[in-house]
Amino acid sequence: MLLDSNDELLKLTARLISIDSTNPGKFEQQTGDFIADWLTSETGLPVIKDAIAPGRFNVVCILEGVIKDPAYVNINHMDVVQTGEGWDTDPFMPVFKNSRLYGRGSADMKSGLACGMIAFRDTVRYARENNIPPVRNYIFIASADEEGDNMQGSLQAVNSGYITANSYVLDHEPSGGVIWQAHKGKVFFDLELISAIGVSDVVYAMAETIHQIRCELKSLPVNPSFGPSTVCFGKIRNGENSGATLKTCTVTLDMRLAPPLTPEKAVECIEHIFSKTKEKMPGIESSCHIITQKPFIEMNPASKLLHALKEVVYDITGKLPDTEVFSGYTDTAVVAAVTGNRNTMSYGPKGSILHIANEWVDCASILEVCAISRCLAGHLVLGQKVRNNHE
Amino acid sequence: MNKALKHHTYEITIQGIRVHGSTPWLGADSIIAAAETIRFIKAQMPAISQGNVSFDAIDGGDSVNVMAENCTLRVGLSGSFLTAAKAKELLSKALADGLREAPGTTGTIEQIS
Repeated sequence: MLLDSNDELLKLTARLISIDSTNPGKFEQQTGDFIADWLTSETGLPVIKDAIAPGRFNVVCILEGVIKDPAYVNINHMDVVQTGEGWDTDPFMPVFKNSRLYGRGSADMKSGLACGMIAFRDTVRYARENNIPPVRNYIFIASADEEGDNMQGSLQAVNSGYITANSYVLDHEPSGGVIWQAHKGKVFFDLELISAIGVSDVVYAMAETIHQIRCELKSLPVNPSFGPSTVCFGKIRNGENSGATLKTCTVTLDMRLAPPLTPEKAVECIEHIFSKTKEKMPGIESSCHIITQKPFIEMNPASKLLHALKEVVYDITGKLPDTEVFSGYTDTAVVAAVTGNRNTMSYGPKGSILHIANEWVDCASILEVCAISRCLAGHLVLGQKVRNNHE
Repeated sequence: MNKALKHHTYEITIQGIRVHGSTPWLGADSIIAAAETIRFIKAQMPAISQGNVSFDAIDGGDSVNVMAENCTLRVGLSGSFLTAAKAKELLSKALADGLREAPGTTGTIEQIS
């Protein structure tokens, strides 16, 4: 064990929750400034603010090692989703209750972010105090825009060269003590139907389209590892154009894609359904705008990072962690999608369902994840042996 | 003007459960329930003499990747000697069928005119 900083870790998590970083909303600037100052004072290393847009940036801090590539990269996002309704307390006033910490971002993922910060700081100090030259680069990234449609923070980390196809890339998303390596793909759409007034009912046509999309997805075989492909309808509106001659109906779709359904096939499927709607209902015009698309990511049992992480989790908890497919997308999944990297994954604390009111995280699991993060860094960066090899 | 032709307007409000779009099985999709309700209403129109339906407004949800928690629908129904009670009965049946397609959703019907 490097340092006992348990109380500090929970306080840091609470401090991060208290800074509103909603996306869309106030975004990450204040959180980014706080983390940059914290890293500067706690590690003494140079800190980079790598901009993705005016006032929005990733925070990057590098412990230089002998091997530059593959580096060990720990990336955790700073932004949180909007609060929504139904909270019992102020979402940005963290509350400790019954061994849980409540607040927006407590699970997703200010707790994981705090684990990464403390583990990085402790590793830097341990290497310095014990005069241990790091085996490889250790790159800590607090990312922006993970909750945005285009996940620009992780893309920027790749474009800036901090993450490559070879890097060992871990995030501390709230995986609940299992390892997420595989991810469903996703496509977000805006669909619009338009008709001259009095010709066809666009609201009814959209209802038929929604029905057909559901039928199409239900007809697909269920992947034994990934489960079914799914669809969620986020927004629906109808309206008229300014001259009141055309009626419109728009709906947004969030489709999650299990192999073998690729984003390209999903787009083809939607276009086919639209063409059938137009055949049935004369005078209807349609448009389909893709907001974002990402491919599915499959498991890589041969991953070196996966083996190292399993060993460390076993060492700390006494149990080998399960691996699960995550139906969502994370920064590390983006890295896998854009670089082809096969050493990307998530391991993080236990918490509530994502993005709900009264979000919480289990405090004991925060402490455990930080210990694992610290031990993994010790193994990958400082060359320390794992104590209890399960094999 | 055909005095036998009666027209009624209703607002249907559907309540779902808001969850992240990647885990729809944990939520209840109010837009699916609304869409299926619309289809069931339309399917019942041939049974009404001179029956006609218009779906005048629909509004639900606020984010692409979050399941819509609420969806409201304004429906105009007309038909020969179509009473308010008969129209309400038709809508209630369609709504019940629509809600069954999206388990966990609930709905109410209010007559506007």
